[in-house]
Amino acid sequence: MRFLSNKIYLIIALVTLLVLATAFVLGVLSSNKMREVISEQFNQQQLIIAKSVASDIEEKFDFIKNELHTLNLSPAIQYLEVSWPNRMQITMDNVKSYGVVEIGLVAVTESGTIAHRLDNAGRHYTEPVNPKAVPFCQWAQNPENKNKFYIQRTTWNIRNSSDTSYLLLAIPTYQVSLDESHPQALGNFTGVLYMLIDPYFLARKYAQDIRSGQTGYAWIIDAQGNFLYHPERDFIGKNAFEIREKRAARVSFDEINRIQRERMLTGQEGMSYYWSGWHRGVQAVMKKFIAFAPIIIAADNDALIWSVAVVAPQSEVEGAIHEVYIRQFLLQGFLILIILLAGGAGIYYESRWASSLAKEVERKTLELKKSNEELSISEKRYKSLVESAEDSILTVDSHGEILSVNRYGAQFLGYTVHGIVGKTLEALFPGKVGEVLQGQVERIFREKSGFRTVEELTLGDKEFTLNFTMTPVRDEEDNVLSVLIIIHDMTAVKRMEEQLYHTEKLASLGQLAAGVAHEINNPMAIILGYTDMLLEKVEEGSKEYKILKTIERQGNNCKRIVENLMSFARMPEGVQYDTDVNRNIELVMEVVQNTLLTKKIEFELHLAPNLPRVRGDAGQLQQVFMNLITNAVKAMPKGGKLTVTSRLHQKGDKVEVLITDTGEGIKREHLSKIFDPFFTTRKVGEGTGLGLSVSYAIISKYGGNIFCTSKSEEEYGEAESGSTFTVVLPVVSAVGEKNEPSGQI
Amino acid sequence: MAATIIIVDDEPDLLDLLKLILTEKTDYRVLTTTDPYEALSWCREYSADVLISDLRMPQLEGIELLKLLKEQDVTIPFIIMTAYGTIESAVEAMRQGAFDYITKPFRKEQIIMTIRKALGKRQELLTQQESTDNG
Repeated sequence: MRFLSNKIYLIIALVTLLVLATAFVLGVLSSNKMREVISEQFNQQQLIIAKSVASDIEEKFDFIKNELHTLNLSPAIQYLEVSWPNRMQITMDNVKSYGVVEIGLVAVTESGTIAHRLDNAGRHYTEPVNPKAVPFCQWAQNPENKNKFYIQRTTWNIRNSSDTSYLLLAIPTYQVSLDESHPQALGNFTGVLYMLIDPYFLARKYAQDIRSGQTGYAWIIDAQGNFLYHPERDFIGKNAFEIREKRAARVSFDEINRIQRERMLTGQEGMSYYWSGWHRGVQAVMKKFIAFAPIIIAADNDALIWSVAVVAPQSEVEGAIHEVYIRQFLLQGFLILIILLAGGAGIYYESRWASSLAKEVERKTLELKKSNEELSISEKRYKSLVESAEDSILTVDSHGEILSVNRYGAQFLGYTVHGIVGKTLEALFPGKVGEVLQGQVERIFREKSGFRTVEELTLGDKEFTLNFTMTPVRDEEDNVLSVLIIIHDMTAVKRMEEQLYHTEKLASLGQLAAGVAHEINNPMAIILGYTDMLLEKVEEGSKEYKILKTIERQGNNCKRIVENLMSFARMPEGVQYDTDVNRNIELVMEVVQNTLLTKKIEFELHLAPNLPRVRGDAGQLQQVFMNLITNAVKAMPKGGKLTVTSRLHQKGDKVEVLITDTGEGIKREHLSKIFDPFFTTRKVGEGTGLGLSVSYAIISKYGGNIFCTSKSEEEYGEAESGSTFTVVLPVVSAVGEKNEPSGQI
Repeated sequence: MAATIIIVDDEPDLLDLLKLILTEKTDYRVLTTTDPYEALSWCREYSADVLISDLRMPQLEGIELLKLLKEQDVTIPFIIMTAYGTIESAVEAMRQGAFDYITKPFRKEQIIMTIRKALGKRQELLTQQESTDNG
């Protein structure tokens, strides 16, 4: 996570650098382009200014021309009336602000050439002149030049007293106008009307206020390349090609000279730049932008080409560019700052989010791990529960095929875990039980409700009582996935229940017997007592004697029945606590030996040597064995074989005695009843039906068990029939229980 | 002088039988009653030698009668009769000081022999008492 984050930061930093570098390069390119554009625009503006100056000057020159023309139409001028100075003054007032310093008329008369002139101070003079000295006289006298203008740059004036170079504008004057004094136009040539214009004044008037940018200015050169106006006063009147070099010899003025020579003095307009050594007060080599426009001072004889230039140092443009650039840089910086801040904030929040996300993920992972662990523990617990359960636990699908089974279940059903999977319930439980189970599985899949049944069945050669609990296993949508079957082996429980049933039955019978015994023994004592007394009084062998004997015998029968009954009630607290089973068997066998011989019954004794002593009273055990052997003998009226076996139980904590006969066996339906008191299959008088229940009571009292397996003659035939009674007695532990009889009574 | 035997039982027929047996077979003076308290007073009144009592009687249980007798006279042996087939009650009686027990039904020889043993005990006890008294 940290590594990834660093990588992202690195990428972001690189991208930012790239963006900044690109922005810088683009900025430089754009500033260059901008410089070009701004320079271009700046120069365009300069050009406009230059053209405006040129246009102003040309316009004023035209105005002057018009004024001159208007004045020339005045009769006062044409006819040289006395008011001529007044008329000139009117015109002078109109034009003197444009640099006109003198208006004059050189009149060519027969009497000579006389100049009538008015200066810009209002003074007027009339004086003769040498017509040859007047440059335009000859031109004016040519009738072809009537109404044409004459222009000339000249230092000429009437007095020739000045070096000042004027612009001379002249027009021939003819007597073509009418007035009161001259109602008819004579058309005579009067002379030449002229104006002297100060070109410096004119140039200064229109150039001196020009500002290009902060410091840019205009200058004007005339057709000879002399400065008509320049902010440097020293330059005015000087030759532009020379004066600069004089001023700054180390700077090459080739470019400006070339521009002046090739473009400005040829009447072109345009823009360019040149290198200069100063600008206003600043002395330095600098690039200057120049825009220039021609001023055409045109007349009919000639056209003077002047040129006005507007110049400004590059710094003017740079300043603007710089300002724009700064603004742009600030804007860019601001944008980058915002981007960086936004990016930073984004990264910050992203990283915070990522970190909180990481924490959340970590927490979730922990929880998941924990719950997985819990789940795994729970799963293990359940698995171990299932695996260690002493019940068969299996799942089956709708066809009754085994899907899973626990180890106990597989073992119980006689398979391995893998061997049983895929087998059907009907195959595992043949017959009716299998059908019932399969039917229930199908029903559970349909109806989704569980089922419980207790079935008795034979697996292998053993009989079992099994409790089947069947429950549906559902998914989240309540569909039945499989059926869980728990098979609980109830065989032992059922046997115990039966035993308990017998015991309880015997106990209640014992209580009953105790009461009955008391009630019967009292009258029996009287009956037998009196019989005994009477027997002494009658003759032996007499009829009465026989009767009394019968009474006595039946009374004794009664007594025996009651005694048997009393066996239930009379549970002596251990006349003897432990005894030798084999010895008791041998004693009983001695007694019954003769009977067996008589009844043609062969017998075998298989007594295991060195058996531990068992719990029980010798007399009572003998009674039990006697009962069982007597029963066996009675079961073999036609003779047979009696086998008595004693052996130590596998676990070593019990001794088993098996008494087996080959007699007629016990019918299946009777097997469950044989230990019930008063149950007998014999004829009345042959048995009381108490022998087995008494035996049962005795053995139970010592914590033992007695049970029977039998094959009846009806079911198995004579050859196979027979019964085995098994007496199980607990072994007396080495210490504690081996108490000798407490005393004699 | 013949020994005096007092017998108490809630069954008069049994008392008659015992009286018949003892009077025919022995020369004991036999006194029978169905009232345990009467038997107790008779013991003193007739200086009885043996008291034979049924275990279960409606008026007074044999065990209780035994206790009362022991308070009165320790030299009279007490024989208990029980019709219960069990010997537990008889054993209990003997713990309380009964001399012996007879289970019903009984043989007459058994009765006579038990009484004879009891009389022997009675003599023994009397001798002991005399020597104690004398000493």
